[in-house]
Amino acid sequence: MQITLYTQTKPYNTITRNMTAPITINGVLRDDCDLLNPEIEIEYNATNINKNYAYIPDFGRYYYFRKPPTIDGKKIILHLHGDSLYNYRNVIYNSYCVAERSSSNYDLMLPDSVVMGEQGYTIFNRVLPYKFHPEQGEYILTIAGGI
Amino acid sequence: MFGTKINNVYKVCNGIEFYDDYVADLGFECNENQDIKICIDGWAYKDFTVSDDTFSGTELEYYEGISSETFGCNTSNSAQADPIGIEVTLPAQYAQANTRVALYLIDGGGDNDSFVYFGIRTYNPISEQWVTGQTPFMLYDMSGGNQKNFYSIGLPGNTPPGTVQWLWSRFDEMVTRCNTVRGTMSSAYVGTYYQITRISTNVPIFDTLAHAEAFLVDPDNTTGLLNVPSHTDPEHDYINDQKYYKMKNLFARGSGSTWTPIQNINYRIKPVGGKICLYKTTPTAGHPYEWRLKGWRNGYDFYASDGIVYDDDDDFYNISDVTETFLEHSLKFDNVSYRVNIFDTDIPTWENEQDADDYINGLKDITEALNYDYIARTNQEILGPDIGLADIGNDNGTNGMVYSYGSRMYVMSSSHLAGFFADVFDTANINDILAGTQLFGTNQINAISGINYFPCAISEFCSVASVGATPHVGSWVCPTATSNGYVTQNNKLIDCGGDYLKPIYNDFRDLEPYQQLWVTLPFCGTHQLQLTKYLNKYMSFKYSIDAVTGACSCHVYADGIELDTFDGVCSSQRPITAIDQTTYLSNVIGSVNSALSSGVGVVSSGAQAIGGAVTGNALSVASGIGGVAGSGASGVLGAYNVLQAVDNPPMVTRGGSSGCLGFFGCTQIHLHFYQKKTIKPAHALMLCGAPSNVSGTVSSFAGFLKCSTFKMSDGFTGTNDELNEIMSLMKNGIYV
Repeated sequence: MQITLYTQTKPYNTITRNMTAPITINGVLRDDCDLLNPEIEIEYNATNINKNYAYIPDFGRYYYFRKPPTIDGKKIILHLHGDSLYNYRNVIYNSYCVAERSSSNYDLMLPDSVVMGEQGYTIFNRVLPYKFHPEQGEYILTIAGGI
Repeated sequence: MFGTKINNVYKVCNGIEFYDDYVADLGFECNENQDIKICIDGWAYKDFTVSDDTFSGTELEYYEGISSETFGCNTSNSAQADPIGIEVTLPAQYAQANTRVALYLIDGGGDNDSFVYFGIRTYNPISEQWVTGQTPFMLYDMSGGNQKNFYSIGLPGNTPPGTVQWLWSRFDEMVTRCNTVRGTMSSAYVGTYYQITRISTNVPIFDTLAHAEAFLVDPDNTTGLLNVPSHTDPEHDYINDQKYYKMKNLFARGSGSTWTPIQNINYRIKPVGGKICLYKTTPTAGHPYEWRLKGWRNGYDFYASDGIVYDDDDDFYNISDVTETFLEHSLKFDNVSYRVNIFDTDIPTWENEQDADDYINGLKDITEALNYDYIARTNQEILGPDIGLADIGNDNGTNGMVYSYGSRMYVMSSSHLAGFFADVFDTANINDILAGTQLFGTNQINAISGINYFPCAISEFCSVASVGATPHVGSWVCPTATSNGYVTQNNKLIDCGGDYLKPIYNDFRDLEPYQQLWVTLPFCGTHQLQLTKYLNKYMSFKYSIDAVTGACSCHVYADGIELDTFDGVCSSQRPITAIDQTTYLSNVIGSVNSALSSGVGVVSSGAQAIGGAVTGNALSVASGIGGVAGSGASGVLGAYNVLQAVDNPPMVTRGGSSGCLGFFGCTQIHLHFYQKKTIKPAHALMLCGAPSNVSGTVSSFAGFLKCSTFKMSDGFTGTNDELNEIMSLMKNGIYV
């Protein structure tokens, strides 16, 4: 089967990929594997072994290397895992969700656990200008009388 | 005829105001039996940084009239300080038949020293021809007009016009010479003048010639009409040259072909006199922008960077290349990808260009902007309640009780009091006193009901009459003593001022329990207030004092609405008789004991209340973001709860004092803000976002996204394992 290998530089918890330097080679699907976790045997080549991402046209899926390739003589065994996030990116983009946390649509008035409390308080004081003057006050003398 | 009166000054561009004496009469035609009215005068703001003999202060204020000395534009009468100003009423019989007329603005160029001129355009709707060459108005004798403080409107060296002029010439003189000039004085006065030309007319005025001509041909076309009343919210619609608009760019495409997000950059944008707004567009190859910035300044539309300056304050991004950098980082939309550029801004934002035009032309109110909620929040405005009547201010009652008959409350200083008792205890007066106080039987000293000492002038909370009045005891009149008058009404509130409480962080940390507000009130103790009620409002205080008992109440207001009241006692009763002495001691000692015993309770219960509130909120915080705890923050939250529970402001409270004890307390109102110390990681928003609870498609989010609920849309062709994996990823957080 044909397999295209890439150098991919985006972390797998992002929804986009940055694939460069593709090479297409032939490989053999090993026994006892499944569609999501295929193991492919390819011929040893220094270029091939430095790849980290793959596309298998027969399966219509992109795969990342779930662990480093195993070298067996003149063969390289690729341990792949289906990149679900990227394979279904379009349908994911169109799916609805309720965001618990977001970098773009957020409400800063909601308490955020990322903000941690330190010991103590910063104290701000303000004083208003009006002042009572008990040192120079006045008396009220109440007397019955007068008109 | 139609047209409505403008209720407020409506500034439409830098340096020009249209005000409400006259507004556009859109049915205007010169052959109709009506007057043409136009009033132009010059005003100025002064903003001085150094006081001098003539002006003082640094605040902006109107300075009516522009003198030759200060502006040098009245050389024909340089010795006088006449204002530039003219008000002309053109009687209808002078008007030329079958002519529609409209004015339009012409940008004289310049940014900080912009000149704004007027043009006039006329049209004959009968012949459907533009009237050119000949002026549209009949001869008009200026000497018969209603001239308002008019002497000259000329620039230096210009001779005022003669008494007989064409109105066209008068317009020409007025609008070209009463231009808008902004400049800085460099002579004896240190500061800046902002000259405003104020115009009021019933002639329709348009922002451009094209709009004026469109109106003249079709009076229903009022695009760009300036002197039109349509604003329900003029406070937000005039041009404030001091205002900076903000744009916080959260995520955007980087320069070149990379996809490195440019994020969390603050821009500060200041239009050079004019309105700006954003509106949505459909990106095309030639204009790859989802949003366009549009503005209006001095009669011209501008786009993008024209007419906008950017402040490079330390807290804001320094834009070296306005056009490229600003648009690339903030507004450019790449329609190849699902990536979106997301930003917060208080620039009014509109669905399309028509709406933007309507806003700029004054036909749409800012409250209709897509982002008005954000504008209102960032501008610290109050969004009125949805139900009931808006509370427009507190209506404190007034004490109408009259105190001057039967018994009088004399206002006295210490020396007055000494004089009074000198008369009372003068043996020469005993018989007269006894005769004058027979009504009180054998207990004649009871005619003197009380002596109270107050820590302020009595006139601050009472109406006082008859300064110098002689005290009466019963029907006996003191032979020598005088007073500072007597109380007629106890009817005044003492205004102690206030302060505007601005948030510090603009996030949840501005509220309890992260921030607490305490107030120390003279004679009324120290109390914690609910900060939420006062944040983003003007907090003010007033005291009411009972002249008879000395009881006082401190009224606390938020934007003029009374929300809290605290009571105390602010006067000290001076004993006169032995009975008074006993009562006084009993009261004071009793109240001290009460304060001591209850004070402990206050402190204790206060601490419990604080601890409870903080802990309770922290627990709710923890429960609200339990998902985060699952990703490794549980230890943080646990420690935070413990910290919050034991770490409270070291505040001890007590109520009012009795006797003279309150005099030794604070004499001014103190506000104490206890701001919990917190640490917010610098890149938290980019790395792990902020609490959201917003729903939408995944494509409407950018950056970090962690879902509490995720529903895969139809069209998913993967396996159940893949679906579970995606669900798990979405709930643990991905970067979109």
